[in-house]
Amino acid sequence: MIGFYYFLSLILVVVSLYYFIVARSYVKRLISVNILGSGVFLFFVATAKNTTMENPDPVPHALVLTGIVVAVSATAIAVALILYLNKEER
Amino acid sequence: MLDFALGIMLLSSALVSLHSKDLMKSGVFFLIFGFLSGLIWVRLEAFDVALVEIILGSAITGFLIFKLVKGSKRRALRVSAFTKAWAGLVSLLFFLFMLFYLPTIERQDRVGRLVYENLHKSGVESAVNAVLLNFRGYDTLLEVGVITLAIFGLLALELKREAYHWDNPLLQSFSKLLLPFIVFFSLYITYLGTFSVGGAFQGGALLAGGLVFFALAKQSLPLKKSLILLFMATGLGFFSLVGLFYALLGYGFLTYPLKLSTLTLIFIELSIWISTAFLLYTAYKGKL
Repeated sequence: MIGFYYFLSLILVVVSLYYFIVARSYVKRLISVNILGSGVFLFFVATAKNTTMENPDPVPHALVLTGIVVAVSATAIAVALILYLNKEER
Repeated sequence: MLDFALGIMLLSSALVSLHSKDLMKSGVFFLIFGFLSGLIWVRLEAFDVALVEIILGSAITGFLIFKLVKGSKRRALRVSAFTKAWAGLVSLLFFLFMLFYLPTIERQDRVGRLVYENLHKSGVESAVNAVLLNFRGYDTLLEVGVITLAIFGLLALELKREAYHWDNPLLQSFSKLLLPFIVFFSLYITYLGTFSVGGAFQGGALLAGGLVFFALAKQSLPLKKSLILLFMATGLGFFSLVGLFYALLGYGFLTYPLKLSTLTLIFIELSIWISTAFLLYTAYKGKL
């Protein structure tokens, strides 16, 4: 089961990496970066479960928690910068 | 079986979101992707992460993308065939490398056992919050610093654009009705972080979700701008002041004395709760 989640995270990262480079609009690039981040978080959380203890490892959970909050604030500032770019070009 | 079904749904929503020509459609499928990944965190027993992912990673990011789609012109960037070729090559190489690397990861105890052995020294009973606020306090302090700086940077751009909102009378009265309950429930989730699933970021995310719901109905909070700014800076300010205070008393930066640690951590959680909520609310609105 952990192997399946590892494979899923790999597919998500690879596909969104490709679309991040070739996408034709900024919106699609922003979405691909977010999906890439989710793929990496999936790898971390699956690794937390890949242990011999009965409870999953809390350290990757804490890292992913901070990662999600940082990803959202990075998305917010990216949205503001893209809107600013549009305003400048007009 | 449930894992496979969720995984295939997650992958297909990601692919639709990435491949669709219609930008609004890819935004909606990104929302679905976030929700499904939240369900997968529950399957992997990461309940704290699921709470934050469904509110922040799915809903608030989704609304930010909707705002961007409505506000930006459709302007195609140029992508040459050469770019496509090297993008494909890089992705393929990465895929092949990881395909052979991933099966070599062994099933073993990592730092988790160390956390559970020292949990009684941390002041909280929830392992995730012990790591967040005590054992890896530097990470959390710098993370709060990063989000504070990001949102103040966003305010410095001075965009005048209205946030994405819905004109619906039902939503307007419901948002007024629900906001007090959301505030108290998020406070409860924050308090719950001392001994169970919950904590500062989880409660803050929930309150941010409630405030964004309030703003989505085109309501505005009856708070002064200076008060909102103060709430935004509370987390970073209070956390670093507490760290400096204990450093001056001789315990070391971000090291808490054993007797006072629970009380200190509850106050730090409250400060991070309020500042996360108002920072993400401001991030959604784009202006004060």
